[in-house]
Amino acid sequence: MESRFDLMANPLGAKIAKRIYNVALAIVQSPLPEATQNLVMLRASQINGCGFCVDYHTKDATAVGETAVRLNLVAAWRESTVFTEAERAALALTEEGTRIADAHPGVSDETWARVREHYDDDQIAALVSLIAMINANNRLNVIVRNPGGSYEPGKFADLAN
Amino acid sequence: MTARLNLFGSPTAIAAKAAGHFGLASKTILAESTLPAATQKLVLLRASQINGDGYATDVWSKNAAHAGETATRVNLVAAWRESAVFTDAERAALELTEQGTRIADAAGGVTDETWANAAAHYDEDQLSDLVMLIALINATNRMSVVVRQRGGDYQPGHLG
Repeated sequence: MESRFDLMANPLGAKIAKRIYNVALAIVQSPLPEATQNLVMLRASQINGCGFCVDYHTKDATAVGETAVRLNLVAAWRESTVFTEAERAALALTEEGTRIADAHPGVSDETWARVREHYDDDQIAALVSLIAMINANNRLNVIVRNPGGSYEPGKFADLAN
Repeated sequence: MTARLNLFGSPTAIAAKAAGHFGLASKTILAESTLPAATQKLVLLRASQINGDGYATDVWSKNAAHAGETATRVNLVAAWRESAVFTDAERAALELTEQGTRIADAAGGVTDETWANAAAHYDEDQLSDLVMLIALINATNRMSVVVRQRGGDYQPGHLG
C-alpha cells in the first residue's frame, strides 16, 4: 500500500508539518496527563479511520507504558472498566468533538459539564486543542492515504525546533 | 461496575440455555471452519468495536494476542482500510464485517462489490462461516451491551 502523495517531500508540505508538530508539542507539554492525551488521539484516529495515526499513537502510548488492555478497549471505552471517570469524560468529548459533520449535534452540555468537573482551564484548553489537532492530522493522512503499520516510536522527534 | 443482569445467573433458566446454544454455535465455527483462525478473530474484534462491546473487544483482542497476533495488527483493526498490515483476503473479510454490522436504519446492507470481493478470496463453505460468524458476534455484542457486561478483566483462552 503506497501513499498517494508524500507531503514531507514537498517543501511547503514539510514546512507545514513542522509547524503542526510544534503546535502539538505545546499540547504535549501541557498539564493534561500524557496517558489521557494518548487515549484521546487514539479514539479520534479510530473514528476517522486513520491507520497511520492509530499505528503512531498506539505505539507511542505503549512506549510510555500504556497497557495493551487499555489500548484495545479504547474503541469500546463506554463498556469497559479500565478507564477513570476523568478519562471517560475526555473520551466522550473526543467522540462528540470528532463526530460533528453533517449536522451532528456537536458537543452536548452534559459532556461539557463532565469535562469541567474533571479538568481545569489549562487542561481544557489543551484538550480542546488536542481534539482539533488530531482531527486535522487524521485528515491529512487519510486524504493522502498514508498507511499504518510501519511507524517506530520517536520517528518525528527531529521535527521539533 | 457490575452488569445490569446476569444472563447466566440461573443455569436452568431459558436464557442460560439459549446463551449456551449461542456459545456452541460460535464454537462450531471457531473449531471446525477452514476460515483462518486469525481472520476469524479480526472479524469478531471489528464487529465488537463498531458495536462498542467492551466485553467482546476485551475477549477477542486478548485471544488474538494469545494466539500470536501482533500488537500492531490488533491495534490497526479499527483503521484497517488505511493500514498496510492486512492481506487482501483479510481486508475482504473486514469489509464484509463492517457492512454486515452496519445494517441499521436502511443503511444499505452489503454491496455487490463487497460480496464479490469476499467471494474472490473465500470458498462457499468459508463464506457461509463468515456470514454466520458476523451474525453471531452481532447478536452476542447486543447481549453484552444491553446488560452492560463490561470489558477489562477477561483472561485469555477462556472463550474460543
